[in-house]
Amino acid sequence: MNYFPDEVLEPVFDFITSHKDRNSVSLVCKSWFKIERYSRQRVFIGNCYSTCPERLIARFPGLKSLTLKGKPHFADFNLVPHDWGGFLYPWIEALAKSRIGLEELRLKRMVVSDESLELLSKSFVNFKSLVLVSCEGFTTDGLAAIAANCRFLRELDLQENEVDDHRGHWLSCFPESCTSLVSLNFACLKGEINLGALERLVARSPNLKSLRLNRAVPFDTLEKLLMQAPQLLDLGTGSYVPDPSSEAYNRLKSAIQRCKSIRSLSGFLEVNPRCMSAIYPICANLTFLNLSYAPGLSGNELTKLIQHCRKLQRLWILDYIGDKGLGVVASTCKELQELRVFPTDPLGAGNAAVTEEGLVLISAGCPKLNSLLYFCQQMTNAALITVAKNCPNFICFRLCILDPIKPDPVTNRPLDEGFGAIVESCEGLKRLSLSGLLSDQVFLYIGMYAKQLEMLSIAFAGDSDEGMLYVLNGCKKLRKLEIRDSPFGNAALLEDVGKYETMRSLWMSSCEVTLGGCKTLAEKMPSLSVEIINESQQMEFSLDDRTVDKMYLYRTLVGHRKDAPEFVWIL
Amino acid sequence: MEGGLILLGGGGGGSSGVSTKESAVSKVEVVSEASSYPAESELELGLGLSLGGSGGATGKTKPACSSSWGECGRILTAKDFPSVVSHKANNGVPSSIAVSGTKRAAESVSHEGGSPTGVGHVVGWPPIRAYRMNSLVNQAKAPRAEEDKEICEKDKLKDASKKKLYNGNKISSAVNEKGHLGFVKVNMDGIPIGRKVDLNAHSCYESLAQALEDMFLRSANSVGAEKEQVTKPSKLLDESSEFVLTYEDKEGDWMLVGDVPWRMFLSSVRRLRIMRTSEANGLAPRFHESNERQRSKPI
Repeated sequence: MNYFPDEVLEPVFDFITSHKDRNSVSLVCKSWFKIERYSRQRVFIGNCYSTCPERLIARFPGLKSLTLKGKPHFADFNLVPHDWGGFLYPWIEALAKSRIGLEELRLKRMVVSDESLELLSKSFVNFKSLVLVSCEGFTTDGLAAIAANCRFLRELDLQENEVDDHRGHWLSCFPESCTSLVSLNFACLKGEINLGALERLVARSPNLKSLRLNRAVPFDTLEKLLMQAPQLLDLGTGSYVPDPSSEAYNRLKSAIQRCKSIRSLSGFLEVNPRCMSAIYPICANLTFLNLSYAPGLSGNELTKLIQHCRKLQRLWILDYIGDKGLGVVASTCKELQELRVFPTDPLGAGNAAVTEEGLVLISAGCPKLNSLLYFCQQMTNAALITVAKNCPNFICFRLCILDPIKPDPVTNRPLDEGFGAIVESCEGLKRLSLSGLLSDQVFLYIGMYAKQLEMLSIAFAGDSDEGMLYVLNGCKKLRKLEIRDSPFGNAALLEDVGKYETMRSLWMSSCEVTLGGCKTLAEKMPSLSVEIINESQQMEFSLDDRTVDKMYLYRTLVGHRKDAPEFVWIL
Repeated sequence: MEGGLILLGGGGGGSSGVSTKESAVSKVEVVSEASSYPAESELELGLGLSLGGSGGATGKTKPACSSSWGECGRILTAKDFPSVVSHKANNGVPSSIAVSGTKRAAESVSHEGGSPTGVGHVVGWPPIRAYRMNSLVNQAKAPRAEEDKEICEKDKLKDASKKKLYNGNKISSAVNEKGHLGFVKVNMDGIPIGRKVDLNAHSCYESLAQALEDMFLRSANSVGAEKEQVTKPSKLLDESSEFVLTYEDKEGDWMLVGDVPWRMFLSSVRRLRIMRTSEANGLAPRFHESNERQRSKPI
């Protein structure tokens, strides 16, 4: 029923921006579906294989901004072979042929070729924004095409991508007429940069708000750039190795004083720790500090810096800060909402420099904490129970004990009770990653209490199928479940096959599910795509009793994908 | 001396018969001391957890860098952790029972060992994005505060140019601050699946070769195959082998692995390819009558 003409509803719908809300609106009735689809400008596709470009184009002719995610999350940790999929090109090809005026593209874990970047750059006149996170497959040649051809480019944001750096002059490819840049992040590039071109580019970009440099940009250039761009909100230094007695260092100190708008600071990929005091003047206003790529600082230097950052809301650091340093964070950063502590030495003999003590201190000092990623040496149930009491607002809780099956070192018990306390206390918890020694009991708690949980990551945990069943039955809002090296098998997989249609995807590797079990599931649920990633050449299609190395299943509207490589079986 | 599976042919062992399975992989020869390894070995790819230095099964803990069988790169599966997967919470399982072998091995492996031990060798653990892992591992892990990092880096670059052999200090494995990713792609002729190997986890060609052998080749005769030790040293440059290990350098040329000092190799390698010997003509003089190199690599 529609009491209002379309023209009235359209501007109303314009106020509805969240994807979830828009999706709900479109389900109300046919006419709302129609109005919504014509007015939709931003589309988010969490699994690029759940649909296809043709359907996207047909439904949303007004599309301006597209977000696509490709490979499963565990691909970030080298668990997915390279050529598995997630190719961007078919999307660009289809969009280019259509009349869609694409302006923004945000990609995560996709394979992005230079050809696709080039086609992108030439096909959409108003293209403004390209954000690539954890992608691969392209070189600086592709970036050159973007720079050269996207005349109104505002944003080029490269985060943690694997880029083949030809050390070409891609930066010089921005024409002199390009003055529209607002955000430029090339911190992940490994190669040399044409420094003169960079300086000229920044000088002619009056709207530049965000600039993140790579390691190849030396201190001297940084100082010049800051003189040109005092309006920056977000700065990522490249190399920060000044000679403290130099004129350049003095100039930087005064340039920094003029940068009154910087709220976000990162970089320090190489650093002279004795020169950090030049940064102190901007610390008071920082809301985001990312020093997780700065192993060159000491715990002391880091702590000294943080003591100036009273307004910090998000902090990413390395674990050399130590438990004591975390205590300083706790007493200084009362506004802290998000904390990430990465291991300085991830492949070392498991010696993380932080333990449960640091986390407890943080929880006591930072009651607004809602998002945590914490790599640590050990954890106790008592600490987790305390953290749960202090911080009931967690939305995202990811704990990684470096030894994946380590129990509570004090009691030698598994960490079931600790995580149980977290899920019971944090009613809004949406994302959880477990580690340490865990039995089925923790999953009982998760199924019982984690009612808002959307994403769960499990590794080396549980005793039996019961564990997985608790989760599948209890977590009604579960969207993504990823499990590795846990003893869950066919009984758990097949108990409620309809559940997977309510989820985006399920990943199980080195578990107990067999090929036969997967085949059964695929047969019962044609709306799912059940993929077996088959890296062992001895795996034969008829051997139903064999356990499967890696299974990835996802719901899809478009059946089996056609671009799967040989080693992927789609059942 | 103990050695690993031989990637590129048995030095002394000579050419064993080639099995006639369809898979091209099976043409690679594998020779071992252990008598339970028949000459015609079925080769298969396996993937599992690889736990560096898990000497628990065998007690062998020689460092990887010598030509003996190093524990790095030995592949275990979840079945090697029976106490992890099936034991229940109630028994006071010591914290690292599955890695205890590792730690024992770690203690006896001197600094020469080079490859990281402990949980670092479980595939995909700790769960850190590969990009970040490469960056962290590439950074010089100097003791902080006391050291002037600037000077330290300059010295390291100088050391590299002096072609010093790996001295066992993990810090010095971060040779090139600029440009070198820890993980490089590896492809083997005849196998559709490419892999990635972390070069920073190795300190010498032997250990790299062993890791590649584990990745791409395995005797498939018994379930416990991975537990048996093959004891011939790998011979990367052995002429008689079916396959040869090559790499693409930063100039795009394909070179034979092993000719240059390890660190120099690290600084110029872009990716690896295990090439059929028959296709490797022209890469090195030993495959030609003449001794001329078609391409010369400047030092």
